Amino acid sequence: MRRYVFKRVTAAVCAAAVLSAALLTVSAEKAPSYREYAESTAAIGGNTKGAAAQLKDCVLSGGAQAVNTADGEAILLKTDSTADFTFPEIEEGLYTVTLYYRALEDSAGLLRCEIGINGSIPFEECRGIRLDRKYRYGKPQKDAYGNEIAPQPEEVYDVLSTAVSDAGGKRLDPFLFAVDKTTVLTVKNINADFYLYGVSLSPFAEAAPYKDYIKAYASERSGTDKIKIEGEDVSEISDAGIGIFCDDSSPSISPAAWKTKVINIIGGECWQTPGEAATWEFKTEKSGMYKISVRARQDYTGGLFTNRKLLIDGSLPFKEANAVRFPYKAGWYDLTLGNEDGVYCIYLEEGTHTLTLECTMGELADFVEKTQETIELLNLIYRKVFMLTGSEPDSMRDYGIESKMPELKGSFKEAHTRLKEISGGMNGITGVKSSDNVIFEDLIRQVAAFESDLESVPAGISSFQSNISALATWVNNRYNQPLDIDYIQILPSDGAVQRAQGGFFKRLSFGFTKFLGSFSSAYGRRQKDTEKTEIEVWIPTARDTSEIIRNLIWEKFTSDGNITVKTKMMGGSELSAIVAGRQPDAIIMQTESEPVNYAMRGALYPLDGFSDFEEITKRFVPVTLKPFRYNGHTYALPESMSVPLLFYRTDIFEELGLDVPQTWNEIYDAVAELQTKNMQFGGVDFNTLLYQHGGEYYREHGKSSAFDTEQAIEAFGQWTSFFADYGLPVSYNFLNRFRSGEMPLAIQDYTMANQLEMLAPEISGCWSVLPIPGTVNSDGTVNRTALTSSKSCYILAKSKHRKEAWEFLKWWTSADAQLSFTTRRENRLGTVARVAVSNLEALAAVPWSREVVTAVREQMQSLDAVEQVPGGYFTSRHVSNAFRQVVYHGGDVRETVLEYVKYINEEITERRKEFGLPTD
Amino acid sequence: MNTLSKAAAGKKRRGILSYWRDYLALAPFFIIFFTLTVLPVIISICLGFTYYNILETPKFVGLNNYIQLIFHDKIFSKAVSNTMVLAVITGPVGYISALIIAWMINELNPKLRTALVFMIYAPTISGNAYLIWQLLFSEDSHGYLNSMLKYLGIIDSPIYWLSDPKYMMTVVITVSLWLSMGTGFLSFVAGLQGINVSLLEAGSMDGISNRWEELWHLILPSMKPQLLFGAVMSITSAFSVGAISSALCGMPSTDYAVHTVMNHLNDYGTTRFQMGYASAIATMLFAVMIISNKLIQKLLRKVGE
Repeated sequence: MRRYVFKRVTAAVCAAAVLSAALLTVSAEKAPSYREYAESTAAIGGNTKGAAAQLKDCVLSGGAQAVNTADGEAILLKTDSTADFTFPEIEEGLYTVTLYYRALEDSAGLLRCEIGINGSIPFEECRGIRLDRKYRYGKPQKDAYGNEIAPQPEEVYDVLSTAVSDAGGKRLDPFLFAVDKTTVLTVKNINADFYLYGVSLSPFAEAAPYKDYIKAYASERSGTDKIKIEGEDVSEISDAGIGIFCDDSSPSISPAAWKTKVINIIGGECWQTPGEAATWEFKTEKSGMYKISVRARQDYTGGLFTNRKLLIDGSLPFKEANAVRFPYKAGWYDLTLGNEDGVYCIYLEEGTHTLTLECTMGELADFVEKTQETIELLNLIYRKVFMLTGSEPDSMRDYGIESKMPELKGSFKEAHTRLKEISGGMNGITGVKSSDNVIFEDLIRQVAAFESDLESVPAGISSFQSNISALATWVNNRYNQPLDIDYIQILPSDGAVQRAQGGFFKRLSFGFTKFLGSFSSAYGRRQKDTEKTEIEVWIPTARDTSEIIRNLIWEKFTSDGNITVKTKMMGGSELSAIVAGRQPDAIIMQTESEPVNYAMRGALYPLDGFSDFEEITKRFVPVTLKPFRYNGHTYALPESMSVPLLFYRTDIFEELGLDVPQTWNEIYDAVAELQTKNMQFGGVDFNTLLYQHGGEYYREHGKSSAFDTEQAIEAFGQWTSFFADYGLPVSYNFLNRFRSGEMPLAIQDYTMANQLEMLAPEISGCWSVLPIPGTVNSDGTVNRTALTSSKSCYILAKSKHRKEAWEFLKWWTSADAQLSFTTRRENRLGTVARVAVSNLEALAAVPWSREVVTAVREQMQSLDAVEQVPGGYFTSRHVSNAFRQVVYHGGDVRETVLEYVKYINEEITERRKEFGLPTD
Repeated sequence: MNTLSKAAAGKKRRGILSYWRDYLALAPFFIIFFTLTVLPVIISICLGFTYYNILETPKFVGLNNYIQLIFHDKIFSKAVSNTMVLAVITGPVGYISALIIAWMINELNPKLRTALVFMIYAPTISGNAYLIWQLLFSEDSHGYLNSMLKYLGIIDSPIYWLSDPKYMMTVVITVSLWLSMGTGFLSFVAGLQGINVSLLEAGSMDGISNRWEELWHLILPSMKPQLLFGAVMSITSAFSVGAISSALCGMPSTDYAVHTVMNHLNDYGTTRFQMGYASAIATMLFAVMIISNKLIQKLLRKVGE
């Protein structure tokens, strides 16, 4: 069972796309692409000598400081600070730029910088240069049952160097910058802080092709060592996400996991993003020629091969090592690295060496870049037509495209030519016609049809959009280069490759042993420890997530405390368990309304009784605790929270020349403007308007509904008028409408940013977020309050180990635990699994894109939450009843609200009586 | 007399003992049936007289729950009327159409018949298959039905099928009918298969002149057990409709427009934790079902007469 095969999203692609769109700070206008830059600087050349910048001559600004570290003099480059370097000795020419840097201890977050030349960004790709960190795995630990548990990577704080290259992996070689004596090279930190130790320029020398390489070693003889390196014994990885796993699917995997779990492979979909590298160390006893055989599995990409860049001792041995192909095949295979002409032989001196395999797109890179440019063109065409016709054009109407937009003909022609060229080139490389071709063929056919008859465009507009989307998804998938490695062999160049053994009977007995073993595995426990207190915690979530939490608990919580934790993957049956007296001590990941619902019936233990409770609440936005309060006590802690933001399409707003609305008054203008172009606004809800008008849900903590106040009625009127008068859609799929442009403006939870990155790659870079619009108060200030809701974790009143359970909750909501949880979940399940953590310290370290972080921070200044009160469930049901009464049947706002408030109040009074609360 | 009755009692006792093997064979079913069906029913009837919030011990409140339910709970009366509308339409219509369809496909050749039986019965066994109706009745203007109507020029803004009280009942009835070809239908098919052909031949000799007469005088009387079974099933399902309306229209539906007794029960049992009250509702529902079953049995006795 491979547990890591879930579709992992191309984190780096997303990040790169966001960064390139969002982090433009040095200069606002769009710079040319590297391709254009390279063409314009191609004439410069002839340089042979590099140079390093003098640290003492560099100019610091924005909070950067010169510091002395154990590794020597350095610049501490904080977020948004810059360092300017000059190279007075350099001769004019094209150079690669190498940065020397080190991550700060105990600081999470990606290291990202921008490179500027003479005060501006020379080309777009410079906006999000990635600086990798370095990690290492310790020895796997074993639990009490003998199962190995994958260790967590530890960061190694060495001074590292990176030649500035494309963060998205679209270029195989580092960037070349045109530099002369007067050039000022700026390094700007745009994310987590790091030390910068220097910058050097060097001329770019392409590696020799293999045929020249082998000629140079023609006189060398074959080596004699036979070295086997286990994939999981990796000595260095560039990304903490590159995982090592237990594959117990076959006895031929080395070492085989017969009875207990053994960590035995590396890779999978956690090691697929261009730039992610793994390095192994090995030692040769005798110099000579060697060949490299990799036992690998690549059954991920449905027909296409994936690529790895092969580095020996940190550098390319020959040009072809830039992209070594691993073909698609079911199951494990031994691949001796080589090309069509034969096996690559590599000369290795006696001594210690490193072998690095780095994800790369290989020859596909160029096509991916061209396809992306074409998608931009297609999107532009789509947007133009869409603005005229809307997403569902009237088939009977003549839109007169031919006369209104004659230029479209040329655009279609260009798109047609480009697509044909890409598709033809792709076939040349892959040699196979896979299902991917259909995507190109469909689009080519459609574009050709549009080109010959422009009037047919409106009828095909929606299938055009989905074809663009399919192409964008295809491109996005090309960034994924997954591969599993069991082991690597370094073998004499004239020897044979020994293949792994795994006959029928061996597999049979392996399967049988596993089956027997499944009866004695203890899934809920890690330790048999009896001296410690054992608490039971319920984790109502899917297996993958609970496995992550269980490992986290084992590594970080039970290892140094006096408490052991028994976890159960249970959910939805708390009530029965409490009634039966078999309740756990604590439950995590519960809904927002549950704690008070149980608390008013005496089933929960109040947390404010613990002496350090006040201290712990400082971890969260204070209002997130509001829904967990009842009768003066707090019964739960928040663990993930929502923050609504305003999502908008930058391209559409730019094209219409509209400003993004910041108040509801501006929203009205924008809605009017958008509606003339068949577009809509979405996501307006009553709660937001209510709180912005200064209204509230309940009086005196739930004595009665406060919806009969003037503010509430006014807010309700405003809310319903959006639907009744402005005709906003009541029901819609945001993702689909946002990507098609039908709804270029909407309020959504900030985690939607992640989904958009993943599910709507074709509009990547075409949208942004802001805090939600506010209501202008009479004194001119703007009230931007948004409502948040959280998930909860709590302790049961009947628990015998409340103190221990509290220790557990404190640990679970701590920054460290929450950050590790979201990071690991993301590493395993993909970016979309990122958790919207409540812990503020953890939230700050989660790698959201810059603009999301900025907007969330600003929005967090004005958040509020709804109290949970006895009978509160009546509020939401009657708010929607009242809404429908007004919007569907044209009911009078005031009358309707007042009538439903009556029902709500009846229920509240009833419940308050039940729980012995004052009702007056 | 005394000795006689004693002897009879003794004989009876010996009788029970002498049948111990049969009772042993019955025991597994009886134990399970008693603990999982009979006992809960008894407990629920008892709980109907208490205030019970699930987490604390029940308190005896006498007939309060019933008084509240019958005289004060406006939503309950709405739920009762909704359930009645649903039961009266979907119960008989579903029952009769199941019978007629079974009768019709009984004439077909066996392969085609099996295929049709499967197709018609499939919706019932596939769990929440009716959720596809949610897709069909989607309130999004891009939803299937809405966009179709829009394309045909019948509407220009989406119809809120599942939240506008005007349409909700129709939608729920439609979906219930679609689902009504259940176990009853299967038993009809089986009953029709089991009819002795010689009986029909004898009937035609004795002067049955058309298919309707054949159906009424021969076929239906000889499949009375299946008819009864089908009736019980259809009544129970008609009265316990609830999942469909809450899955399609939300829980609770707009203005309780398709709120059924089952929904009401769930609302009290799970949302408000008023298990005593919910038990009272369940007991009422139980009583209504038993009474209507008795009625139907009486009616069915008239078949063929």
